[in-house]
Amino acid sequence: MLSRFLSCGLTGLDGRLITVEADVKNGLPQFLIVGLPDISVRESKERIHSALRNSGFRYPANRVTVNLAPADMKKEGSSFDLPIALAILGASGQIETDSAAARSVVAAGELSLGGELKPVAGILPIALEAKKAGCRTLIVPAENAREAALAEGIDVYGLATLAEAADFLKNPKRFEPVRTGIGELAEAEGRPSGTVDFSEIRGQENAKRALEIAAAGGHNILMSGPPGTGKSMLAKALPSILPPLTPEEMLEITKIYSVAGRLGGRPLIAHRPFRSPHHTVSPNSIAGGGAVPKPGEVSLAHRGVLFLDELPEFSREATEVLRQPLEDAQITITRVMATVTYPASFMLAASMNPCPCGWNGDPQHECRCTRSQIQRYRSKISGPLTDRMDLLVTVPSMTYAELTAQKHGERSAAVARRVEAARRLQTERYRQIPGVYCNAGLRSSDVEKFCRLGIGEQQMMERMYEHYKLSGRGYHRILKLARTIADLAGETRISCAHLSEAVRYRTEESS
Amino acid sequence: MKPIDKEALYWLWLASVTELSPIKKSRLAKAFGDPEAIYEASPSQLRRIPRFTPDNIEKLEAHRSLEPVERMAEQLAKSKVSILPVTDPEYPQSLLELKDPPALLFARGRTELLNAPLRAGIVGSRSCTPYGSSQAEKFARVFSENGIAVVSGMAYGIDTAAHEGALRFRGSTVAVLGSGINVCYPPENRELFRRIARDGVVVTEYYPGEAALRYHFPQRNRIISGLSQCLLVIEARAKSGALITAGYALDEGKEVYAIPQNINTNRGSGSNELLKAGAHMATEPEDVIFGLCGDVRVRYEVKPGRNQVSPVPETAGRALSGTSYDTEREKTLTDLNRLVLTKIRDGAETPDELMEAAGLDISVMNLALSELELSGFIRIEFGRLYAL
Repeated sequence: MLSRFLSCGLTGLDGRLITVEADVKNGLPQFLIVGLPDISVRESKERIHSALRNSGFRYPANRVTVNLAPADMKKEGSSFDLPIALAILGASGQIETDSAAARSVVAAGELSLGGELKPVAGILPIALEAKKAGCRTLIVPAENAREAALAEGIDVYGLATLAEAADFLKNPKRFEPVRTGIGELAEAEGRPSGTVDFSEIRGQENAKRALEIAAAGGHNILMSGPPGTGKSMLAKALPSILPPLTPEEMLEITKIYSVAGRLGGRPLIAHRPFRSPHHTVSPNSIAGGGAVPKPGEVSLAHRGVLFLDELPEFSREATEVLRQPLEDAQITITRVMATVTYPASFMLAASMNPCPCGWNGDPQHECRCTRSQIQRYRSKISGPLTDRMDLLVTVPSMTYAELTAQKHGERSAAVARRVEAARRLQTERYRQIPGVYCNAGLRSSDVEKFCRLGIGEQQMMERMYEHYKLSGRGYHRILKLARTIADLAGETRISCAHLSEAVRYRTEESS
Repeated sequence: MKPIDKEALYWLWLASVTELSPIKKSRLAKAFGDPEAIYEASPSQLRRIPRFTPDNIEKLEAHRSLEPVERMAEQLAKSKVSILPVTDPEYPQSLLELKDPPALLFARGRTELLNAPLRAGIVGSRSCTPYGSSQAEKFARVFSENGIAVVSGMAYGIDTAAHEGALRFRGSTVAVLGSGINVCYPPENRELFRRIARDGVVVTEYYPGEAALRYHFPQRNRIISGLSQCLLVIEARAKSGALITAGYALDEGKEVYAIPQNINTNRGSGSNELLKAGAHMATEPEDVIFGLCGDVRVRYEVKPGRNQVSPVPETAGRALSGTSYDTEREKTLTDLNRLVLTKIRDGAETPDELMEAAGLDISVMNLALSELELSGFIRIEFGRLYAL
């Protein structure tokens, strides 16, 4: 007897509806899965076998063939356990899967040997795809239910065991669908844990201002300073001054985390992510990897901040892969089994010491590095990355008095409001230009158009260009920064004050 | 460039024995007087030289051939390198007063500067602050304007700034190397090397091709001090090469000047130690110039916005270099910029400290900082503010 059940497979973030067909026929007992299953899918045989028997069902002592259609798409993961088990139950006549109601049910979930349903990765994209395909019902493990329910417009049922799933198919009315909304979940998330509020950082007003400008224009920022001055803390505070996520953005991020299996029990990512990979990270974990590639750090930092602490210590190969995402806001990864594109639009923040020992330029400590050591150290970040760094700010060591001053700075929320206002101006201004959302994304031809200078400003720019020995790229960068500073001030024209503040954060440090 | 004579060839041969230290060569020169005698000397004669080991003698023996030296002489003549043996009239006479004068000097450029009537050495830290390098440049420039040749070591930091300052005016500067004449160390100073060889003079006692080894520099320093009539030390660290040079200068009975440093910082503690020990304090170039020749001849003027210096005729009264001119220029500053400049001079070291001290909003302060830096009153490096 033949039976069908619907499920969903994933390639990257894109789901595709899969029909699980099971056929039980007379013959020697055998269990065959066809339709390009990978090892994790093939292993489901053993789980299903035990789960069926331990849930009070009979495992057909016949020849069982399971086909995952379309058969040209590679399938991986343990989420096919549940639909395969249900299809086998249907094919062996133990449950009814042919009813109109059962035909539009999509199932995903892993089985334990005892028949319990275990959560799986990638539920949100599965739910979104099921909704798109017009299916009305989705059954998932209970722990995945709220995540799946984010895809509004499809009834999601969270179930605990295989027996319950069989029960559901017989008598769906006895179950309540899970309802949730993004807003509700976001509220439940509350304040992001592990992040820092601006008001918690003592002093470093100059660096905070640089972060504000960076956040307002989407500029990448490099912080340089001796060890222990709070560069990492400043970076951790960066997500808190970015404008709050929109529901669409939350969904986007949650999808990525879902596929990566990084949700960690949360149904929704409601805050801008902050990713800080260690400097020994491999290029593959930055970009994303695996036979079927999983999202890497650049995608996990999507809509948030990717922080590279001790930038010169990162391998060249690791920093090289940042090039495409920084340019295109997405990354395409080609591996043995698939080519996948993940979104990767993030703000890059990085920190470095001024020299290998860290104390160059510090009055209290003596720097023992030789000139060539320092040059070698700094030259490590040259090339693809320095081209992408728009701001450089020095974070000097603080005196005891500054460190213990009782004065508290501004809260992140207040800064975030200014940043948001500046971002709104930019969105408005660049509405006509495809692919440009903020000042940092301006191409040089657009810079001329949107960063016009008056006579006085041109004269000042000329003086700065000569005095600081700027390059053409440096010139454009200062114009873009000045544009952001003017936006923060809510002014339409770039003034000398904006220019001269922008030049303070230039990346070409004169030696 | 005169053709190399027989005697010079023997001197060159002695220099080519790179395994022997310059001090040992100098002793040989003193003991034998004539280089040919050294060439011909028997081991028993050589053994009589103080601290001459059998190994040293072996090295001399191994080199006993004039052929490679002749080739080198040709090459040097082609690349316009003068060979100045200790017996040459062009040899800097001041070096003869050293305990161990170099037996032979290689020089490129205006060799007459080596015997210039007025010569001042400027030495200091390789990793100097903008404060140090701007002072070195200013002092060197004023020295040069007053006809004083500036002697230094072409290292990074203070040395480079001193040479640059001197070149900016007339170029009477002497660079003493710790490597062969055809080796530029540090390599990044190649451009400076070329300019000094054209407008000033580059000099060394090391044989062409010898690398800049660590232990060359203290020996090189004795030549810097030997060529200088007085020595100015800027931002020297404790136990630094600049202090070694100052030690030589003091031994030779020369005046040593030092620019005082902030006592809160490590850098420049060597300069302050010198002052404590009795070195002259220099806060303006005239301090050194008066000491050297009792007179200031020219007054200099910097045209704002241009890196050009033009001498103006001496007017009545005592001419001051930096101070009076800068006060004039400061009058053109806006009130805000003057306030910021004052606070930096009062000790605000970082933008944050300055904000606190001047009570300014960060964007206003950034404007003032840029304007002050553009007009050359301050310099900002690694987030630290320096008044120039």
